[in-house]
Amino acid sequence: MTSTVVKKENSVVTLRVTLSAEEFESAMERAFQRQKNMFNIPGFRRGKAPMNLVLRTYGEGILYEDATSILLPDALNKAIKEHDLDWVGTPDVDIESIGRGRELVAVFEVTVKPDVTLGRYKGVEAVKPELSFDPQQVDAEIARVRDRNSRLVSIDDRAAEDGDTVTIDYVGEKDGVAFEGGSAEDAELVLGSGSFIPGFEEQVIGHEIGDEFDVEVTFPEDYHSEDLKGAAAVFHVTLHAIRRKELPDLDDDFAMDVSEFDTMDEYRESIREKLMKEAEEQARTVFENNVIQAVTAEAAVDIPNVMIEEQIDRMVDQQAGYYERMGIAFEDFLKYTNQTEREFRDRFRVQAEANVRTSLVLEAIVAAENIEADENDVQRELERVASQYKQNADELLETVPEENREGLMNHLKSQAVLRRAVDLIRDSAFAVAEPEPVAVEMPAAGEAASGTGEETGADD
Amino acid sequence: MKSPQDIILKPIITERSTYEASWGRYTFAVAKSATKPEIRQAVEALFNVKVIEVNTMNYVGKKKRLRYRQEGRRPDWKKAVVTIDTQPEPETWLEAGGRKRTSDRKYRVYIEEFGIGQ
Repeated sequence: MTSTVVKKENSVVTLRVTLSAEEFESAMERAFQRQKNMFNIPGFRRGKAPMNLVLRTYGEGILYEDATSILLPDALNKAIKEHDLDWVGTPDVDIESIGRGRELVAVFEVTVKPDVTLGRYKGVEAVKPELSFDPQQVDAEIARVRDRNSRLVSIDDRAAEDGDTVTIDYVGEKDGVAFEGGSAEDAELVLGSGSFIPGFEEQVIGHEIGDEFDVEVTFPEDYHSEDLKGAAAVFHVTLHAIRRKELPDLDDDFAMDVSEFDTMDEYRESIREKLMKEAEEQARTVFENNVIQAVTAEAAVDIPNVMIEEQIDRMVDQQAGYYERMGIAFEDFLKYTNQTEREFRDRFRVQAEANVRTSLVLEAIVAAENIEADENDVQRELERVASQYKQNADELLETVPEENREGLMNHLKSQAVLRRAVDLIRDSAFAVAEPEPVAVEMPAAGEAASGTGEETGADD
Repeated sequence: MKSPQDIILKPIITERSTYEASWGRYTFAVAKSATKPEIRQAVEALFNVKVIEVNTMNYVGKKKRLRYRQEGRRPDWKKAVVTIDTQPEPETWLEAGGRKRTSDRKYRVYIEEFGIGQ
């Protein structure tokens, strides 16, 4: 096998690969051995006819596809290694000459990673958003915990009120006939929660335990059942129990119950700190993304289409996998949302291009700065991944089969290198305050970059 | 005089005949009236080989039923299995006067027209 680079244009390299007649012949023979049971020739049992006879009967062409698929992938890999190409996507191939006793000449168009012309990447200016921290969030958080720790207390000395939880039996009738799904026993209903038909809950209010009464309601026009839409119905209701939600007092006992702190003040402070940290973390992430965005914008790179398409493939696969885990076949999802796969793909295009651009730029920075990752970086990266699965590093390694570990390590290493590149540009960047009238493209910018930091790592 | 082409009609190419061809036994359909010596001469003339043995056999054409009670028949035919010399030695003989002569005739050792290669 010999190969030569014919020409090189932007990010497309044209490779001419020549395979000798002998190499081709042996591939033809292997192709024949694979396929020989397909040929039926009078006078021979299937698979017993000699190759020459088969080729004379059916024509050589029937084996070309198999023979090339035996030869070319290998040859292409060798050629790519030989010329040290950093290829992406699937190369286009054009067979220039083929036939027994002749050389096989194939011309590949290989897309390679484009050259990136970096602009300024150290000391760029990027917006660092104000901390979006509001002291009221602390109260809201405490209220949530308080609600979660509430108890239901039985009440027997008064009628049901708004907010109570009642236990009822009911039989729903339409025109005097019970309808399907309209009856239940010992059903729990929170009055005022709006979970029943409008009007129902209000009519329970004021009744006492043991009461039997009728509730008259009209089903709403947009009710999901055809039969009941807009129909008037009567529910015979028996009220069994009334319970009221009782919230715990906000005192030190409460703090001890729900946290490891002894006093309410300490608890409140810890929540404040936690929320502050989250807000800072978020601001940092947004800033980081803005920096990446700024650096990416300064760089010039001509992204080949196949890279974008590949990225879209990965994103669509991810989405499809997500829906499939929820039990929806991807095809059905497209049908429900009334879009073709093409439209669905197009929605990812902008994001995909941004992702590709970002990773190319980061790789270019890695190359320009000779960034390398050491053991510690890899270990940190491993722990980060592990924490996503709520494991520690060793536990995670246990779950990875022996033969995949090296691949994982290489992957982590490249992640660590990219993270270092991000650290570099972020630490050297200048934070500027948010411009007064919030720029329209701000959210888009944040979004576009937010995928890249994580996603380039997570998706392959 | 029948030409060789009138005697050797076509090769019989089957799993068995290709197998046997690998040691020089070639199978042909031949003219019904052809004799073994005629077949030998025809094969030698057509393919430039040295024939060792000719076996022939007659096949009675199969009866085929047609519609409306007509009886039909496929033609009778003759098959010849010809063994050729795959390692021919140069022929030698004594001429008048006791001189030894060797023929310079070169025989082929396989019939490539049979079409399946070796």
